Amino acid sequence: MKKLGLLVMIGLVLGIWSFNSEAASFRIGVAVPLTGTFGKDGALVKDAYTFWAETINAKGGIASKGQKSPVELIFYDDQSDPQMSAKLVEKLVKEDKVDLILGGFGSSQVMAASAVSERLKFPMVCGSASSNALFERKFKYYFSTLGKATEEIRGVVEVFTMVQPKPKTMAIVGANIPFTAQACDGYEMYAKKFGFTVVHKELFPLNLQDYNTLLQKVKAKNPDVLLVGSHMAVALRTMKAMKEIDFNPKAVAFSYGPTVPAFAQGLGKDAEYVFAASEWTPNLPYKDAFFGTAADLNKAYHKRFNRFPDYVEVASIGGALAQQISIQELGIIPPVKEEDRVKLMEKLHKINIMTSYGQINFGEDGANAEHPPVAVQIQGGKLINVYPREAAEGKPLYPMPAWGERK
Amino acid sequence: MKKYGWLIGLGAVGLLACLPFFKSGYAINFLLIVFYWIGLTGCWNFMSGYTGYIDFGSVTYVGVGSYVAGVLTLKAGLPLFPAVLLAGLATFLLALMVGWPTLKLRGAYFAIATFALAEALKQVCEEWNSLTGGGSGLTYSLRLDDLTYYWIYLGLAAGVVGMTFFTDRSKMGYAMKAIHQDEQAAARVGINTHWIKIRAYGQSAFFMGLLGSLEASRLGYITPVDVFNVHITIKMVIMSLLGGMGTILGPVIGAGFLQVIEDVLGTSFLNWYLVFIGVIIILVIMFMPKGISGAISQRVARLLRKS
Repeated sequence: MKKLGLLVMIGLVLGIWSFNSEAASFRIGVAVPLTGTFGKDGALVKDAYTFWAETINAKGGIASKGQKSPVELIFYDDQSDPQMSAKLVEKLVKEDKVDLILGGFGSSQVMAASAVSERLKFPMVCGSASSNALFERKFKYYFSTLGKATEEIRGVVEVFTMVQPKPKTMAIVGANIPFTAQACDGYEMYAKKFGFTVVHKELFPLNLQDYNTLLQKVKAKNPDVLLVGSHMAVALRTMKAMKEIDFNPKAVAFSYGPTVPAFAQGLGKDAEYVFAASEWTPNLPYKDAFFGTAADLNKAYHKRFNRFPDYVEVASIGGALAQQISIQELGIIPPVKEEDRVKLMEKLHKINIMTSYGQINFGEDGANAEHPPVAVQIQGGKLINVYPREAAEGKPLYPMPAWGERK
Repeated sequence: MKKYGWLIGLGAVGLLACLPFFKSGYAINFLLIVFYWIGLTGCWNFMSGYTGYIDFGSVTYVGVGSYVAGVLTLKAGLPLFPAVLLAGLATFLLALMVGWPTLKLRGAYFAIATFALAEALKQVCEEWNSLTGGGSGLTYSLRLDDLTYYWIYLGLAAGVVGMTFFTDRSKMGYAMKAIHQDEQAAARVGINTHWIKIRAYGQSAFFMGLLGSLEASRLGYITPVDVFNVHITIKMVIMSLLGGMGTILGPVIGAGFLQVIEDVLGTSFLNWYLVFIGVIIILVIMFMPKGISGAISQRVARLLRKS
């Protein structure tokens, strides 16, 4: 009896194995930083693509031309180095002969990598690089689900037009790398547009050690609102320094950092009242046929990785999904040929779809034209959507209490 | 063997130059990056390996080269080659200006001064928004094709190794080694040590400027943080150490070896490859204090003695 069971098992395994080997898979290559400056951020992107692939594969793969082809991802670590990133895209295409690629993380790396994919005629959809320079090269094969860096932060400036008493002055500081420098330019532009006075604007090196002196200068000008062009590490250090020097603006907002769960975990109660720019929150009325609603995606992601996704991860899933839907509509099956990729590029410029990440419409320059920026605030340890007004879960809490008055 | 070294070298370069006619694809991209690092490491080795003055700011010349050529092509509308040559000239002159005061400093002080220089120039490029685009970076408008880069980098790598080869047995080379051994004694026998050091520094900076500006055009986009990244300097140091400091073939072996293991291990062990590479570097430095090329030549010498 036991033997029979074993035979049946072996038969089943062989059956499944042979069934799998029949369908050719879509081999998709990704060069992403897993070490170096952006190692942690890149790991998020890797998780996001993995989640997308697992979800699609659980349904049998990408359904195209009446068959289902599973997805196979090949990841390489670009060490946060643009030269490496470009080289790895070349390796993926020329040596590993992948069918498609997806974008990595970080403006400099993606700039170099997308220059290679442009020459090799491989569409690159990216959900985690938004420097304006990416869209100023008249490239045809580069697409981004995020808005431009100068636009992403519109929400965290505009949200202050909704609070009472309306703040008058704003100070802007940020790290001097493309994404954060451009976030600061965007802050300045929108602050002026919405009628605020910018009393201070300063860029500092990414590896700055002494945040106290930097913020003392800002404190001396007594701004109502502090706007920071940041990545995770900058956001954390700014908060710690603000507490140390007892700097109490009525609000503080970041371009990136607080939406990553590690921010609130690292600061605990001190993270309260912080505003952050975002492009997605789980309460938004978005949905698609593969991941369900934004809230469903949020839950499923938590189940898989034991943490909620950051908006960059959802934007990466959205990018993978946009490429997948285009493939399905064109009826492309693996192995993907060059003319398929040219068609895919043309298709991606035309799509205008609703996904669990939100509307995706790449338009002429490859930037996501339709995507509204969101502002969130940490309230009671949670990220609460406070802008735009029609999607808000709660009112922005303003002004925030001084450090000394907090419980 | 030593007599015909340059012939063997020339033969190897000739073979590599013909390679693209037989092989295309990733191998070419991979090799051109190897040549790039052989070039940079060769420059570092030429100065620091031979004179013993450890330069921790070599990336200065990569960065300055990148920005000079970038600004010249974008703002002055120069073609790429003149811009690259001017970038090399600029880094050469900068090295003379920097070398004059700093090369009077001994050992560790020189290392600290050059390290600070790289950081300072990064700040200049970040602040000088109107010229450099500041933190948002510069997008190059001119680029050659991959094959052209392959041949140019091969030529530059060969040029740097050739320069080392011919200097090694020249009066200048002996003076550089003498400075490394005992600078005061070298000065006492009439070597103008200060000038020798400045010259070596200038020569290596010239090639770094060429390589830096070409690589910037190849990748197409530069930011101060990327082109003044201290990791570039560290990579040159590690590759020199691995290959063997103060030897002719050290940079070739060191850069080739590190690039190959990075490529091979990075493909197979995504999460652990850097650990393996770290262990390999430590083992080489522990068991081969003179680097891989030093260990090989010791072996060869022993075999020759036996026979």
